[in-house]
Amino acid sequence: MKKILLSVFALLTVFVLTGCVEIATTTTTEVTTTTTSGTGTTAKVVMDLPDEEVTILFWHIYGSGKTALLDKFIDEFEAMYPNVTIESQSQSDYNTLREKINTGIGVNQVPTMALGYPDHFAGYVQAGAAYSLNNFIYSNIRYEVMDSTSTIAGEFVDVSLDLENFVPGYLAENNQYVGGQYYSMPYSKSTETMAINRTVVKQHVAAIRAAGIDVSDEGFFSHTTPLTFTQVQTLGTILLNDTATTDVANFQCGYLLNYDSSGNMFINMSRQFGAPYTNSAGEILINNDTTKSMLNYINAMFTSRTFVLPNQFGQLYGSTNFKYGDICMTVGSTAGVLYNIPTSLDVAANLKFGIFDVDFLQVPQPVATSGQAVTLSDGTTNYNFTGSLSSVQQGPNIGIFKNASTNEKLFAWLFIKYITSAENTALWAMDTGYLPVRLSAYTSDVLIQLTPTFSTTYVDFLSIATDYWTADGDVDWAATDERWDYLHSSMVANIAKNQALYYQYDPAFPAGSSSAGSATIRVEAGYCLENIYNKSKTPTQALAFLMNQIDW
Amino acid sequence: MFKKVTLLILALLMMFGVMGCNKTTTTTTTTETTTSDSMVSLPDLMGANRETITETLEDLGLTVKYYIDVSKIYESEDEYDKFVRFGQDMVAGTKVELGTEVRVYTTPLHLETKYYNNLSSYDATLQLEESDYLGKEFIADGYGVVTVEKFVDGDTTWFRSGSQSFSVRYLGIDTPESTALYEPWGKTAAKYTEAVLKTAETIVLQSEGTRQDGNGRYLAWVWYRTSAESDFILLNLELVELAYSKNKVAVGSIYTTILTLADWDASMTKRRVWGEIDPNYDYSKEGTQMSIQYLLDNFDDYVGLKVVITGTITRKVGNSVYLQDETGYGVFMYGGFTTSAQLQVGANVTIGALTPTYYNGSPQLSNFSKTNLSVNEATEPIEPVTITYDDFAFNKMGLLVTIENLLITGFNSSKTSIYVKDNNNNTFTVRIDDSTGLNADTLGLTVGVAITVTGPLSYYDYDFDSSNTSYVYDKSNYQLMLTTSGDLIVLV
Repeated sequence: MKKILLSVFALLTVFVLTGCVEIATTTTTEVTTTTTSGTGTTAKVVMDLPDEEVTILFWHIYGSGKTALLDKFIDEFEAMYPNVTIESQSQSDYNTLREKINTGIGVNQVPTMALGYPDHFAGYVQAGAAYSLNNFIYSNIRYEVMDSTSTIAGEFVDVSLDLENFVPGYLAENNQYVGGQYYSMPYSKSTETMAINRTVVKQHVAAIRAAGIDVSDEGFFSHTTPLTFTQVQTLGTILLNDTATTDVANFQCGYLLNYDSSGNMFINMSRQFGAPYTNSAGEILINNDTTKSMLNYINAMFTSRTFVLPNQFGQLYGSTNFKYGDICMTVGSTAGVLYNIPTSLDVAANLKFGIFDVDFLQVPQPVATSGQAVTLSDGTTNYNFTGSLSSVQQGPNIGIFKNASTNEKLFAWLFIKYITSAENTALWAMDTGYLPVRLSAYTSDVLIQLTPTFSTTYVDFLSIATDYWTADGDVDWAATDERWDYLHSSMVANIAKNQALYYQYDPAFPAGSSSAGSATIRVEAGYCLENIYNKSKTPTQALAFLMNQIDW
Repeated sequence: MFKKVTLLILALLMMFGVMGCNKTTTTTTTTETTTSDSMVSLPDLMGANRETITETLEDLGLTVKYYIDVSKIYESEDEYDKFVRFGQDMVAGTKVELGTEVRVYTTPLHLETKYYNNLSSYDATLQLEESDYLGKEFIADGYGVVTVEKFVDGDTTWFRSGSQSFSVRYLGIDTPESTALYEPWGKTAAKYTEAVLKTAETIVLQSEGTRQDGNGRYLAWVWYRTSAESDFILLNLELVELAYSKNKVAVGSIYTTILTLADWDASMTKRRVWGEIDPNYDYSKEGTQMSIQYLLDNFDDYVGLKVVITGTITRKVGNSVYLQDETGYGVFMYGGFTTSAQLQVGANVTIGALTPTYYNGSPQLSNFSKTNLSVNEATEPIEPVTITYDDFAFNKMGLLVTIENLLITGFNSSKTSIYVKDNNNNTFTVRIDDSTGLNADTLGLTVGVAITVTGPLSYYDYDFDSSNTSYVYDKSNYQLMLTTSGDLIVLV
């Protein structure tokens, strides 16, 4: 009797714990295994995995380079679940992806799952189209794979997800929506790092040391401690030419530090200066004295050519002019790291310093430790504030739409789990330049095959750069050693890992009745800095214009 | 005691289960008892289209959910919108309960064309009128009549306006690649664009927003009409509606909405770029293994397909290499941005999934990926073959050669092209690759100096058109590639 009651009890528990979740229609077999997961113990309920044919429409924006690996994941997943077909469709770019989904929501025609930025998902949530992934994350269902043709036939698949295994900052970004629900999961995450022309730095090692900044004989700065803004300004006195043109003979650039994204620059420096920006409630907090002070400081740095924006060169990104030697340092996305490396594909005549050595550092910070009082100076004015460490956390997430069928949603979720597994997120990271989303990827000892002759764990992948740095660039690798192919990716991955402690994300919210949404505010914040850079507006005018554009 | 507590908990849980949810889905093992009256047999629907399928199944008391099967090549319009099979292992004759939602797979659907060829009916304000462009010039005014200078692919064309020739990237679309990189339907889209514009009576470009992209190409909406009496057709929209391209949203454009609608309709058909198999695309992972000689002798047959090539690297330029095999023939492999430490001069390698293409008339292999590279045991070093101008031929391109006693007659402005003539006054170019960082000055070369050069043979004709089957290779367009200063001998 006890056994029967326990079985019924467990069945009901499934029903209750899953709350209003739609459970995939299936035959319940046996009940109750108890596993310890995370902080609690969950009774697992074993069910047969649904075997009806399911087609999942997955929208992303990847080109043929990244889709080759994505297709590999899809092939493997379809072999695990032979009843599932995943239609992977690229939609060119994120604007196209978002617009198509927004249009589709109106006529109830959206894909099963899609990539998107937090503000995209905020809009989908507001429109009632996004599906809460909490239904899966906290599920206690365990499926048995009954299909004998499956590559995992006879195995058990848990629906739930161990959130503790994910990078915390990524999770916070993905459950910032209404009710603290997860409407997306992290997938292709990136941050910003700073590329630096080490060939130029190497020529000034003595002067840099004399100025009190640690640098190795070969021109390597610390990879664990970021440069401060004050140190960046000091470097400007050494690496900057007196005019805005590059001086090849004296190894000096016309501009010191480029910021690819003016929007990111505004937002991240606001955090670094402790200047309120927005919050997840959609409140706009930009118009404050600290922001004004920050804008004045940035303006002074623009004027002295310490900071520069790509607009200076008529470009969207600084990579081209960094390679040309016009700029000595540039802050940009980890996903675009290779664009900063001068190669033989560049027109040789444009490369003022030839094919120079590039190193990567953390983005500059105002202070060594968050909460420290700091005074920056442009030579005439002091800027006093309490500094914080901050670096941008960006890159798309992945979510599921509500109008998919129960089993479509289930398998879409299992696909998300599969492509974000420790090994697959590590492989994706090493192949694409994005970052692993799971902490276990950083410690996994599973060898990942990158080419037919080169396999590595993510730990060893990271050690490519650390070995190189430890040897001050003097490693004894053969010319054919494939570690050379991954050196720069490894550098950036290390930098990203080291600054992960202070990742910050931009609160995402859709437009309201009286103010713009987070995506628009980011764009307008970028325009604000561009207006200051172009001298078309003073910092005060630019801030006033920004507020006028976003606060209706 | 245990029973009582358990029953109490059960009761509470049941209450919660019943009251706590608005929407519940049956998950228990309950089996409905059915009678034969509530069951129907699925009919044979072979040959039926969706309209007939829906009508037939609804008449039987069933509902239908459609899927599209894109596993086959369809060769005529008659094959579209036809029943393929039932889903969930059902077949004609399978008994199902009344009210069941039956899954049906059909072939891809017919494309509807309700926008591009009738734009005025949809929104007359979107239609191009003569008054919009008369008296204007595209570069200066943003509108203007142009003629085609050169076709590139489905979404890029060189146009001419007056004395100016310029590349134009079509706004709002993104056709699959068909030049250095090959993607399904890319070549078909390129041919469609070419066919349309070749028969156009007038072509008008319209700019909107940003004038140029990061590659210096002008951005435009491309209008054409087939006669002076007909309405202008927006080619960008036509390509989307006919599923030659997906819509790439041009934010803030007046055409965004109509393109999005057309894009959605096309995507529902699974035609062309939306999933249909491109009969002209090589979907194999690796491709066909062949010698370099066989490849060059049959190059046109393999353009856009995939091949596996084994060869020894004779020279390296950046990430790209020249390969040569034991047949005594060579070919250039374009590495693009993919760095590979294993691609070193002297290494014998096998590389799969390479796509033969033309680059300004020179044969090359593109689509390189490190994942398709394997390094073999080293073979005998490749020695250059001494040839003369008379030996220049298509199947000599990519071969490591030496040409002796060439007199320098001039240079280009960057001193990276060295114009030379041989003893018989035949002229051609020695090209110094940018990756070397060299030029005539750094090599100490001046006009009148005689040189002997070793390097792979190549070809460059900007006006080369791969679709022109009667194209004749001009020996003066051959180039000898100088990849290292060690390959140059200055004759005294």
